[in-house]
Amino acid sequence: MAGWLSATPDGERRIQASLKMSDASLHRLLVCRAPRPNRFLADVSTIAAYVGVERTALAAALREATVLAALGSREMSRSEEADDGLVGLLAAARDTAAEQLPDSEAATAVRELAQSTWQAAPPEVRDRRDVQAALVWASPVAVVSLPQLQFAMVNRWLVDRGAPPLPDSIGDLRGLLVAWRSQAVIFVDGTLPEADFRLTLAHEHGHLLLDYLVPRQRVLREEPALLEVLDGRRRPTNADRARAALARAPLGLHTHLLHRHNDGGAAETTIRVEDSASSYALELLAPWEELLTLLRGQPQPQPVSYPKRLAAAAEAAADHFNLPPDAAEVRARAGLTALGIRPGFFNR
Amino acid sequence: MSSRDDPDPARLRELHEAVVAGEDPTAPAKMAELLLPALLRRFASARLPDPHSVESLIGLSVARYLAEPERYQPERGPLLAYLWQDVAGDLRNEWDARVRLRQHESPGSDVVELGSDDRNLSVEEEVLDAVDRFDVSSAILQRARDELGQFSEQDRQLIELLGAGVRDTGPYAEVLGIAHLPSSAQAREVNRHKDRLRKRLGVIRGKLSRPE
Repeated sequence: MAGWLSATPDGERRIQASLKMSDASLHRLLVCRAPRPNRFLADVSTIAAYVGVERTALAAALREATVLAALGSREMSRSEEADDGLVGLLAAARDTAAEQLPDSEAATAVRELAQSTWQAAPPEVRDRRDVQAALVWASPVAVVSLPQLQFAMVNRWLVDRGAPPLPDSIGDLRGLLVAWRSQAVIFVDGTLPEADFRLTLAHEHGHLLLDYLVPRQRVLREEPALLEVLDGRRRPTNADRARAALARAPLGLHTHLLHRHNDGGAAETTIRVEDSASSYALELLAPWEELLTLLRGQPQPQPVSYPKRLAAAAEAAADHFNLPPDAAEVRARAGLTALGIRPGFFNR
Repeated sequence: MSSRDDPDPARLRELHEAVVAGEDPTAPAKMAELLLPALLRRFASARLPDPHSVESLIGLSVARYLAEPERYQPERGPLLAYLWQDVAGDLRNEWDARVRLRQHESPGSDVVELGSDDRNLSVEEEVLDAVDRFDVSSAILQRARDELGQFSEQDRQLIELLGAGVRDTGPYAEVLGIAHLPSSAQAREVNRHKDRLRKRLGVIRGKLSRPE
């Protein structure tokens, strides 16, 4: 671990402070072997028990150290960055503008991704539906909660930890994902109500999986030579672009998803990926089968009317899954539709 | 040092296997926690050229072992003896470097005499140093190496301990595999081996000092 942490600026001191470890515990940690990515849960749990810290806290601290080491390497490659953007960097933001949530059942692949996120977490995290902890266990991602999430604050956080700032900028944010060389950090507005905080986290995690890690895995499988381009280690050639098209791994996807039209509206590609990320977020927070079970068990309000059933279902979903009211209503409507409960003619 | 304070050899073997297997991420740390105090205790009782370097050299040696645990072969002797020799080798190298620096800074003075109490190099190295110092032919140098090559691995480990000035019986007994015997029996057997090796080294020195 000592060698592993040395890649992170001030890594040892930061991890000691964040975990409130004694010198003896830190020394024990430093002599442990670094956790293997494919055995992250088992290895981190073993190390945490040995050094006497809570395992999810250790997992989060290790994720943060790793992402800072990765982002720190951007400093070295900045001179190679193209004028037209940051090749290899994914930055996806969830701003404070109102958004439309998808009101249909998520695709099977998205549902499976959400299930695998929960399965990667230890039982106590699943039991308390701790989304933040689940993300940390499931993916190479750190979660950072900042008061008033603005680009300036994000950049200050990065620079304070030895990472270069982001060059792009948009207005106030609820969440921001930054991914680089297979490591990521999700920044969230820490002043959000808990339900919004969870939805924002889940949404950004959806971007990480759907727009970064899954395409990256496809590239690794089908065109491993392109990884250098995706990681910003070199600029794409025309041959790379052709190979990327054949591998269905658009190189531009990894640049950034922050673009909006001059009128403030989102670009079409941005809307598409936002929809997918939201779909994943709803599936993660309110898994489809659990939702249907919940709705089936709901007593029918009297007199029966669709608006009342929808309101009752939305309230139940919000309570059970800790969803914001708008997300709970969208999810409840989709669930009722799947159960054959639709608005009557006059309610449409 | 007493063998009573040493970690259980069975536990060391078990941890060594775990370190090599790489499955348990805490195995290196558990091993380091056993090795570091045991080595510090051993070197605390040794007559050393530079006691101040010992702690960091022990740390480096344990780190080297943990980085490449396969380099240690359990069938060739106990792990503590293996690490002892590694640290002792580092100490000798460091001492040699200082001597060379001193000689470089004030040429013609402060030459270390063979057998001087100023240094506690291994007997093996003292023999080779003697050959080098008198600038004898490469043939004699080769003869020295041939003679030394005839020592068994166990004898070489004992010579290392002698050269490092270890007085305690424990490390010798461990190399000889008699740590389980009563202390009086250990001391008797260790003394017998020390005498035997000193005589043999004396014979080698004598051979080398004679003309070809």
